[in-house]
Amino acid sequence: MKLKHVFCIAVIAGGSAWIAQAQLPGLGGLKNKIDNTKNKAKPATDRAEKAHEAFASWSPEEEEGIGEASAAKMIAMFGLVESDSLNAYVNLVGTAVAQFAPRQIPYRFGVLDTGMIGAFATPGGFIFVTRGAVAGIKNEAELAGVFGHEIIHASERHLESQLKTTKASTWAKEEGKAVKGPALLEANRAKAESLITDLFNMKLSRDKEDGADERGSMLAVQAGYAPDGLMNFLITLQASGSSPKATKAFGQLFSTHPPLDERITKLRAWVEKQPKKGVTNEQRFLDGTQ
Amino acid sequence: MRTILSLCLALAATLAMFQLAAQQSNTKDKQKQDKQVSDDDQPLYTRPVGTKGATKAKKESATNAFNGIDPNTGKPLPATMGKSAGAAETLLAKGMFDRVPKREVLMAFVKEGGLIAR
Repeated sequence: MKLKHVFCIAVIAGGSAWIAQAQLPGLGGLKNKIDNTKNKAKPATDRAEKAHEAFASWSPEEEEGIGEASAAKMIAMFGLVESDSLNAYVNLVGTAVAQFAPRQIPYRFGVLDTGMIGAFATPGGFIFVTRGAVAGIKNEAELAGVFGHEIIHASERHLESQLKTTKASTWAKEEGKAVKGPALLEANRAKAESLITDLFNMKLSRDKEDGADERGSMLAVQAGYAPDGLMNFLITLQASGSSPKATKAFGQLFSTHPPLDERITKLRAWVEKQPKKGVTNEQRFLDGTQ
Repeated sequence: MRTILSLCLALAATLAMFQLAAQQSNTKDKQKQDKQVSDDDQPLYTRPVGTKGATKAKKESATNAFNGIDPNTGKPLPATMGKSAGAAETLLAKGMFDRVPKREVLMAFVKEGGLIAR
């Protein structure tokens, strides 16, 4: 009986040892598999790092470089109104409002030489208003409201974040590469081309536009202007109707912004909550922009 | 013979009158069309902007026309979108920084206009 038990135990032990030996190479394979998986995962990690770089904010140098290239493109498209007194005036009004911007960067202001009605912010604090818009604005508070709207877009990097969302795949690859010197200038120019095309064709989200209307008007109020400046300018535009000439003048504005009546309604609700004070400086505006 | 000659002269005179009238009508139509094009090319708001202290050429540029906009959509024309910045435009963009007012100039502007300084 005992001998039988000993035999059985020996058989079982021998079998187990054989099975274990047979399995060991398998365990080694498992280790290899883990290593392989790690190696396969590495490119994915690299891609994630590149994607993170793409979604991370541009450095101040990148923002300035891309902004400058974008501003140069805008100037190439329409030209700047080259009047020293006008440029000095719009920079004074813009800087007075920009004192209260949530992010302090060197904001600078220019008037594009086109009858189209619009205002634009490119990265890096380059803010443009068109000659057509200035001609329709009635006082300094309205101009301050328009600048406030654009300062919020630039300050909160609205265009950058929207573009990085839509162009994540292509820009992630480009931004993964370190470029310097002339190559950097060329890369900035290519981004500026893409950015300006989107600026004229892409709608920012409703939240961003509504936020820019309200917080932009708030910047103007903080600077001492009447709270209804931007709202009154939008009312002027609305009153101009829908003639072919108005369509031509507003085409850009309508295709990239929410409808005027919705913007006016929301702004009116905000304006009614503000203290009834602030300046409009109508005469100074007329003198400064003539 | 005399009657035939008179008839021919009368016919020639009538034809000449018709031709003159047609020419005048065409000229009027063309003038009307030109005026229409000229009106359509004027900006919606016509108050002159940035003409003070500008040269004649700059004055004209600063008061006229939509400049590069599609009349049907109001969007920039493809030719406008296709313009690339050269050295001159890059210099102008860089020059925008020079127009940012100095602190003391800004403070004088703020004070004069009843604004608030931060």
